Amino acid sequence: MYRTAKKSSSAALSALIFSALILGLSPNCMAGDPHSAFYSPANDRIFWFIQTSDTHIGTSGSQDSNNLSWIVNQARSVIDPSFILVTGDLTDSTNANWFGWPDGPHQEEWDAYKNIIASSGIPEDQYYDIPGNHDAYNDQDFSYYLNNSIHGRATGRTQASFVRTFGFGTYHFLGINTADNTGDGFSLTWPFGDYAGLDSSELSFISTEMAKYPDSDLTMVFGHHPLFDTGNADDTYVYYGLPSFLSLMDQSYSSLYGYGHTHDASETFYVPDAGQHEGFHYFNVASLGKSSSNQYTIMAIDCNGLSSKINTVGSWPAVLITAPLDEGLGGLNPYGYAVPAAASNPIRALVFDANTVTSVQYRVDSSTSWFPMNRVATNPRLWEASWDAASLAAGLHTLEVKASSASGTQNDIIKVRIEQTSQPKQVGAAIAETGKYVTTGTRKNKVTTFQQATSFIQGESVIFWLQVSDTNSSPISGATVQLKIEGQGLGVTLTSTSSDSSGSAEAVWTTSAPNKRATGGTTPGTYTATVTGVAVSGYAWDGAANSATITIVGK
Amino acid sequence: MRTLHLLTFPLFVFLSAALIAVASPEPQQSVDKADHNRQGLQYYDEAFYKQLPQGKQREADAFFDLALMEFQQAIAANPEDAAAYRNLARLHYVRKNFLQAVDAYRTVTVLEPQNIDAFVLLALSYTRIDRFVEAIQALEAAKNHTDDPEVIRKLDGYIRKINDHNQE
Repeated sequence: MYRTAKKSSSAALSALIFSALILGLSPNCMAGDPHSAFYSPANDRIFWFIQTSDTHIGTSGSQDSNNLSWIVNQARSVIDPSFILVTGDLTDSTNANWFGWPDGPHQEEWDAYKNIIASSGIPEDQYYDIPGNHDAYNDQDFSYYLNNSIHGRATGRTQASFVRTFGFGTYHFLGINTADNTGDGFSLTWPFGDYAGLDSSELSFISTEMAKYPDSDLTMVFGHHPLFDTGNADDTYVYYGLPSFLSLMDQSYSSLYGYGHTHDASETFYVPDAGQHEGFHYFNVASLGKSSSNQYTIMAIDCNGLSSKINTVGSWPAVLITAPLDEGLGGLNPYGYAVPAAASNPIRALVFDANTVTSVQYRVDSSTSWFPMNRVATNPRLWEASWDAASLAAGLHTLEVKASSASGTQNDIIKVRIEQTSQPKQVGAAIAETGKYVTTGTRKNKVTTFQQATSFIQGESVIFWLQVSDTNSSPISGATVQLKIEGQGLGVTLTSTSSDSSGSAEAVWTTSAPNKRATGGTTPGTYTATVTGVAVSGYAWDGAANSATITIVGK
Repeated sequence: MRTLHLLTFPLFVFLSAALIAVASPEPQQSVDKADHNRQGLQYYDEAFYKQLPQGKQREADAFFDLALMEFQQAIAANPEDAAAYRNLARLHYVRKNFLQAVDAYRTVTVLEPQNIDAFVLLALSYTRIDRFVEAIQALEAAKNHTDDPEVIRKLDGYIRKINDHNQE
């Protein structure tokens, strides 16, 4: 009891100090906006990743090693995720003792863990492993984690922060260390050697990293422990640092907290009692090493919308509908969007299988009629279809996608909210000007100006100034424009910057100069730049393929 | 090269041990039992948390030996020092000297009968040397020192696991 009281008072002090610290941070310096999700036919604004947890290498009589090996080998090869994130309990700390009593850490378990990862060849920037309570028993400084885990060895830290940047956006991911900071051994009595929480230095890292990426479109956070009491007396959860952490989640407008620990799977939505925002998705994945199902989650971001599907090791195909968004994700998804009762709505689904996928189909409201979906040529794991929803009544409907292969048939079902309104507002983009940036003067007198031009020398950067507006010619901000450059056998796709309050956006085509032998470089000749899409929340592209012609001349 | 290595290794341990001893907050000439425990834990930490995770078994063994001496001196100074016995038991356990761990944990359970975890670690040590009857006896004894039904349920679970294993 003394120890608990001591910890609690020290934790309270930490929280106090930290609260004072974060009060100095302006919420505006944090980023992420889950409401930026939008419904679009654009099929090239998508990426996906895997979360798994509780690998428990060293458990007696389990599939721990086989399952981890499956994830980093077969699943990684078939799914091709942007990265794999493992939320703790990397090792079991029992070294297969009969009681399942964590008496470690055991270097033998860590060696086995390291060997599985090393033999898969997965790079450090595609595999993020953070500690759980089983990696913290009897190890206050996380020495074994820091010397043996992939992320710990690479960074010397117990927490992870990384971004994924694409032409369509920047996404920030945090892996936080919720494990006990006392180094206590496992115990039969509460808190079972696992006084979980976030101390001031851990919170400080989270705060700093969240503030570091003000331009990120979404922020997603992962940790080992549940944040709240699960109702199971054996489940420890974040006992200290929670108010400060929830405040940071709110300030950064984080979309998600994903965790493990309980060996159960669930998807809910956390609504805070207070705060500026609606809350975040609160997803639990079961144990990769100890559970018999629901051991890993595939999450996708499609047009800034989050979708998620919990899967079982060895089960193919894996199906995940990414557009439209699931209104029922976590039971409540305030970050979804309404789907217009239109004749040509896009549906997209990711389908992963070790065997060849023979068919992917969709249906609405459990109808007996299934409609085919087609593989996206530029992204073979993505399937799409155009769905006629014009006759559907306003309200919730179910949308189901099923995929078949020699592995079997699997599906994904989501809820969509049909909005019986007129067609969505339309947005278009015109190429207002083409030109280049020219720098004159030297040192203090150096000035860079935009110079209008239609002819460019090989190696110059061609600037396209775009004007984004709605049907009333009012400027639209926050839109990105896709341009296709074609000519001389070339086809290049560009994505503009986000349009400003005057509707202006810029896209850059960097041409290449010939080498010293005067060969190579962008082929001289005429090129046409055509608008092929405009993406912005709440609008649909008007389909006007405005274009401009430019000429590249030899150097 | 090997000769050099053999020469430098004891030197490394000596210098490291000296460094740890100097870093100790109390002067060495007035070492009491608490200091032996503290000193022993510093050697133990060096071995278990610094050398072993880096795969340096020989270096770890040297520090473990130093820790062992310190814990033994703490016990010699006070044969009822439960903390020293806990440290000693843990040291033997992580070095897989389960027979010695049994002796030390058994003493901990005598000195701290309310320490149910020590009974379990004693039982676990017994299972590591295939003394299953005594392992069950240790777990049964633990039940006499708690009235927490959840703890008793878990202890019964461990007893069942030993019985199941013996029946296989």
